[in-house]
Amino acid sequence: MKRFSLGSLVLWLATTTYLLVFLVYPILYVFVRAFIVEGRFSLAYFYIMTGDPVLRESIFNSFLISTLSTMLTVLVGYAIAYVMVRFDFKLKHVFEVLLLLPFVVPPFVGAIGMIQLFARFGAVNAFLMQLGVISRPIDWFGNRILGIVLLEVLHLYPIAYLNIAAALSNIDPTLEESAETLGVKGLRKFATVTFPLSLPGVAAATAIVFIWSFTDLGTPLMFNFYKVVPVQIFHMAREIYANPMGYALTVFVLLLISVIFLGIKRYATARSYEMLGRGHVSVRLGRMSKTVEVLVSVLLGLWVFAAALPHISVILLSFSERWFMTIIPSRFTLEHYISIFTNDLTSISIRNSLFYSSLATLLGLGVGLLTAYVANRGKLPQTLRDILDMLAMWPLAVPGIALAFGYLSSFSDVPLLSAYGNPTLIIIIAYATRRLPYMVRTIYAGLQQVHRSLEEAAVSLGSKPFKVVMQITIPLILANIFAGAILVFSECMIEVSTSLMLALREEYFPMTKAIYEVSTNLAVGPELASALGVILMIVVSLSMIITSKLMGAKMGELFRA
Amino acid sequence: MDVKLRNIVKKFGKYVALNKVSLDIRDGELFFILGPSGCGKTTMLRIIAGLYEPDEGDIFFGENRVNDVPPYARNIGMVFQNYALWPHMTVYDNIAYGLKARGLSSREIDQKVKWALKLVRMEGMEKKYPNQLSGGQQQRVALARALVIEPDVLLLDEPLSNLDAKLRARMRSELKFIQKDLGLTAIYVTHDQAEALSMADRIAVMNIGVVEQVGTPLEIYEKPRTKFVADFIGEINMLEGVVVGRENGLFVVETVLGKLKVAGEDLADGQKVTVSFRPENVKIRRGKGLVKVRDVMFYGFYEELVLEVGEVQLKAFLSGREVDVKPGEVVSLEIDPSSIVVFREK
Repeated sequence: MKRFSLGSLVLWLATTTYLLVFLVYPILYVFVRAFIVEGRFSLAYFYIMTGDPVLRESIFNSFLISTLSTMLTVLVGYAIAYVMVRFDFKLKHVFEVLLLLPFVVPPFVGAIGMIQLFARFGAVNAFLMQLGVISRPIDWFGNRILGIVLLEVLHLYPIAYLNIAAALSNIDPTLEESAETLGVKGLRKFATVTFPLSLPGVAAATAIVFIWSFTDLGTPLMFNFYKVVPVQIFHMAREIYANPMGYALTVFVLLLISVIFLGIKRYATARSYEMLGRGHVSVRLGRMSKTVEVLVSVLLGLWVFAAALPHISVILLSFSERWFMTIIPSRFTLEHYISIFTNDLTSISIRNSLFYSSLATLLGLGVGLLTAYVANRGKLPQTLRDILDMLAMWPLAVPGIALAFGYLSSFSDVPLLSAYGNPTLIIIIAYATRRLPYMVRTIYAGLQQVHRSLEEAAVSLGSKPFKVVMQITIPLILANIFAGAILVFSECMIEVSTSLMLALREEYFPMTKAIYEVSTNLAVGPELASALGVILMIVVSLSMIITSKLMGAKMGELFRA
Repeated sequence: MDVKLRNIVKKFGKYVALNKVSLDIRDGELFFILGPSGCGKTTMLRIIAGLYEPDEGDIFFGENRVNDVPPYARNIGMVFQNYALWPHMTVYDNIAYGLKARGLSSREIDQKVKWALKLVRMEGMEKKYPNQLSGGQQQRVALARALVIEPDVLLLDEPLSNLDAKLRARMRSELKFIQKDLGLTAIYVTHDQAEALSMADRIAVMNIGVVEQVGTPLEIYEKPRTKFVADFIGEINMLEGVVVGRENGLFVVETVLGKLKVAGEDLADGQKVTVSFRPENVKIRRGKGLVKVRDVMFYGFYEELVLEVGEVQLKAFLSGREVDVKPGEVVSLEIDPSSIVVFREK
């Protein structure tokens, strides 16, 4: 086979150009604007940033929220992963599914439910007063930081669990057995062998959870908590011409993330041990005594229930006519579901979301397919393919707020792409670019399974390369393409940060932004927002089910580092 | 420390991995468990280590029944097939691990680690990590780690199978030397018969969950008790036959080679048997006979003759170019009755 082909080069140029224009340029633009003041390099904005009390407090709060969230999430994730990987118990397979439920909704929809539950006249107070534990309602979220942390933990623990579980099951069982034969057991074995060997998973989990909770815009917004970095950037994006601080703050976030990523990567390389030829021994799953098994199942059950509670509350709220000082609504209605289709704001948002997400999926599919193909099969030097692969994975490291801020600022004067005019195109591009890694990964996984000899056989029988791709390659990876497309579609439907920042006028709002606007501005806002949220839950659940059917066991890998 | 196994049964689901296995391993002995993959040899070793619990039967270390003693309390040293060195610890820390667990002072630990490193000829490698070592070096560290705790029993699970042929041959004699030098009781699992024959004091040959024969390498090789052992160890020729009479205290067996005299016990006339003999015990007579030479293969220090009689193929190993035969020639065979082993058939 040839090592180089013009066709591959053209495809490489096309995909690389897309990524340069819609990923590298906006970020670069933000950096330039942050460091160049009046034509010169300057750190002036950063001096102002560190001097501004509101920004200082926001940065502090963001660190506080993400540090607390990360510590709790990793702790819980580790405990769950250890039990799930190392033990066999009756309800294990049930929990394997239930534990992943939080993937179904973005946490900021859960925030509506959480606020309802813990409101002064909400369900929790009603419950406690009925029990007679308290006599007067408690103001639970007087400190909103705790509410935000709680929601982040309940939403993010599956990511920690999956990463740590992967690391744990990757440990060769003989490494622990040899400790046992040398006289070491229990906690000491865990501390000296198991835990150190699982650290790469812990590191990955820490990085993802920290970055996610640091850059989450939706949740603090729903709690009306403005003194965090993402919300500050969100507000600054609206006054981009007047206030250059948004650039500095976005750069701050991007640099912080780079430092974390590089740190983790260095750490992981230093610590990534090739498990020297795995032994033939399979893991001995621990058995629990009956009491412990019941205890573990109850704890896991309670945890899953806690994680589902905000969403259960959202569902109840969406059907409630009256929910005041009672544990569950006292009267139910379907009215809100009718309203969301008659109310202008919400009905337009449903249409917009479907339109944006469909087109973004198509765009993502096109770019993703070409990228995966060129990166995996392109007849090009390895370096070029690696560059493309790296670029395509980069969106994983760029938070939505930073990308949206980059789009808003760098394309503000470009017709068709300016979010200040008609933002349809830029929203579609934002969605597609944000989720490109998922698309590329699923398709790439498929391509890796299609042995080249299958294509070579077709070529040997006289078929031209393009025909081979259409007749052999694509049909063989069709399941992966579908899986990627459905996953990307549902992720677009629940995309929060770019939706909130890029859709500036009501007629362009997607559902997520409508949920935010409605819940804060209307009298029956939370109920309407919940109904919209329930629709999102259904879309995402369905797509998850279909994707996992198509992808099989590979599903979990998509959410790992 | 001698090790006794009594009627050990181990099942995985419905699959019976060990079926009433009993063994006596003597103090200071290098004892081999030899068998093809899937015969249960590793399962047996892991039961001795305490990594598996037997479903039935008893294990004794000396006088003590250790069934309920967990692996970490058995004072064993185990060398795993993949070495199982901890990648996050240096060579020194790997070896010191078991000593730390035993609460030794850091001076004692240091002394013992140095001693173990010297024993396996790895001085000066303390600070390296396992992934900086070659396969052979990793193997030595794994051995040092198992030896340094002065175990009552050393368990070795195919320790040399990941090494290349030359290194394997060298490690054989080194391992044996260290074992004898320390006077350790060692149990060594392998599927490599050359390893077992060349190193073992005694060998247990296993097949699908049962021990077929226990004996010295010479006994196993020359007096195999079952067809499986005969076939598994070395090369052997097998012929079907029927006992037709006695002559001078030997039995006469009718085979495709004609009447063969064999030594044996208690064989009645008309008994169906299998006659087996090693290729190196075959002598060739040129001219006249029933046996046709199909091929002659030269291996340097010996020649292999592929012979055919009727439908049956036989092998003969000739050393020193005793007889100069060519393919196509017809020859007759002579086999010393004492080198023939007879198995009764139903």
